Amino acid sequence: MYSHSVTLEQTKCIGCTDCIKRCPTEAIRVRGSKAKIIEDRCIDCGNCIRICRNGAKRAVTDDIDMIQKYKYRIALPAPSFYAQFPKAKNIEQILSTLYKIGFTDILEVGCAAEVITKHTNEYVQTAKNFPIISSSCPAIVRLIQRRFPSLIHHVLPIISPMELAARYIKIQYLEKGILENEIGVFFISPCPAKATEIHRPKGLDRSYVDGVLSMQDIYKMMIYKMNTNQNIDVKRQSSYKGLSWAMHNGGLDENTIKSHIAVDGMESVIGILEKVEDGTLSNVQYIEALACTGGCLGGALALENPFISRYTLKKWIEEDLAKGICSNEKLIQEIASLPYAFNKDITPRPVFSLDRDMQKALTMMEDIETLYKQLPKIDCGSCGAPTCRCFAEDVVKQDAKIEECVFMLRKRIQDLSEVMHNLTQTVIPTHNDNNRKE
Amino acid sequence: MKLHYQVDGDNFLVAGEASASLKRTLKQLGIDSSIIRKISISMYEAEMNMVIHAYGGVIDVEISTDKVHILLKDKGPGIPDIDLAMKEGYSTASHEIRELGFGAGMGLPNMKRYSDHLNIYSEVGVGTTVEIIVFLM
Repeated sequence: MYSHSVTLEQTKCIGCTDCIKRCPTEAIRVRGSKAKIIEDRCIDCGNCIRICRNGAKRAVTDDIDMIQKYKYRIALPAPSFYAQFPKAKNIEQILSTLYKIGFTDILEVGCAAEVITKHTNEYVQTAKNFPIISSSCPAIVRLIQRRFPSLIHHVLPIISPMELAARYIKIQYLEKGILENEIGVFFISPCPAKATEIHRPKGLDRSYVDGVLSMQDIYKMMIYKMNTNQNIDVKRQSSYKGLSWAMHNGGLDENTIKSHIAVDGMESVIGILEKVEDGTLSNVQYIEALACTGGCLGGALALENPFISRYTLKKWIEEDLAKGICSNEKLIQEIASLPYAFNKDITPRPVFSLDRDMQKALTMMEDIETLYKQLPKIDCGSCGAPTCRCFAEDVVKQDAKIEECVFMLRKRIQDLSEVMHNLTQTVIPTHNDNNRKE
Repeated sequence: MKLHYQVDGDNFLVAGEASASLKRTLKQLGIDSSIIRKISISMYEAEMNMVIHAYGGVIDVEISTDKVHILLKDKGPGIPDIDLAMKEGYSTASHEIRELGFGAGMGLPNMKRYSDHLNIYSEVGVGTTVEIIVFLM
């Protein structure tokens, strides 16, 4: 069963505590010199992949050889993918290279992004529960399910551009009478969360995407074939409108949605969601929240620095505008005619709850508070938990032993040695220590 | 269980930390998220009032299986006319504070809206005690 896209390479992990500190859902502990991911809590954000200096955290995506199983191999490149090639002549060159490495067809995700922007604008105009929180970043949806379940009904109930693009292209092939098992639709992904997303989709029963390929894998195959002269003639389907989706602020139309916040980077997103929970942002209509700094351009599988990527995309957007490149309006309209709403509710996953029985949870909470007061509160991480507070929770839940805290261990040794010292003072009834004959 | 928080006055950087900490605790207790939201909104408002108007104070929270009881005590200037203060839009905030986006006169009305019981005891020059009760059932 496919559950997560972030895994640990045991041999490379040295048991340092870098990753446990940066996990937004406190999902990692170090046990026996190895990091251990608590599956229920992991939201696939990829923070630990970025932070690990030993390369021990890996994103699991589908194997590139998988495409050979299909007769029709369709690539879904997103604007964030184009940004990995700052030296490419133009986007057409990147697209044509995708054919050279074995794909038989391409649909630019930017087309679907343009459509989703329109649907989002319409939804925001008629919505009642403000602010609406974007749903295109799967790590954020997962974060809300676990850490902010009260905000689930704020999540935009609209599928992602990737999903809409896959839906369109697959239906096109099926309508031509092609068998479903001959059609392979592949997303070229900047992030591991998208890989989990197609296997365990949120808000829909099944995904139309057959595989999620890592941007890094595709990049390696492409750089050797990029500059050969036999370029295949390709026509752009999307334009600057779709390209801007990958920049933050891209998921909305600034002219229609007046009050909005675009936030990226996990810590900043959490700060904003806390404020939504406290009711201080109810005057904001729309919040575009992306887990990675720099949005999808900063994904854990992206090769290029996100700030350079932003510059690259900006350059291409300007070129598109200067050359007057327009989106294929017929195609955009066809995509717009497809269903785009979630057909399944997103359910809360309150993984932080101590016990179903509140009385029991209260007792545990009291124990946690009492223990926490005795701990050094310096969050050193030597126990393998990210914070002293988290360690106290682990102890009360019986997932850790109190002596695993070096300070508590030292105190225990101190107490014991005091007892031992006292024992050395014991008077032996038959013996007088002061009256010993030399 | 009982929780105690010390709220630092005049420190906007840490303002709201007591509410944030209580929110974490309530989530761990498995309390329904819509109820947590009611508690968070009303307590956050009350805590901010303490920082803005009353140079901080203390907050005592008691959580039982049926309700959350919050008592906020300060030694601030007090509220001369509580009925007036409860009116939507009424605000004593200075122009500067409003420029910062605070002081819209919705603090007390919001606290009332999101709590099941709200009692305010206040004496000018002595201080204010705010009692918030939210039922869990």
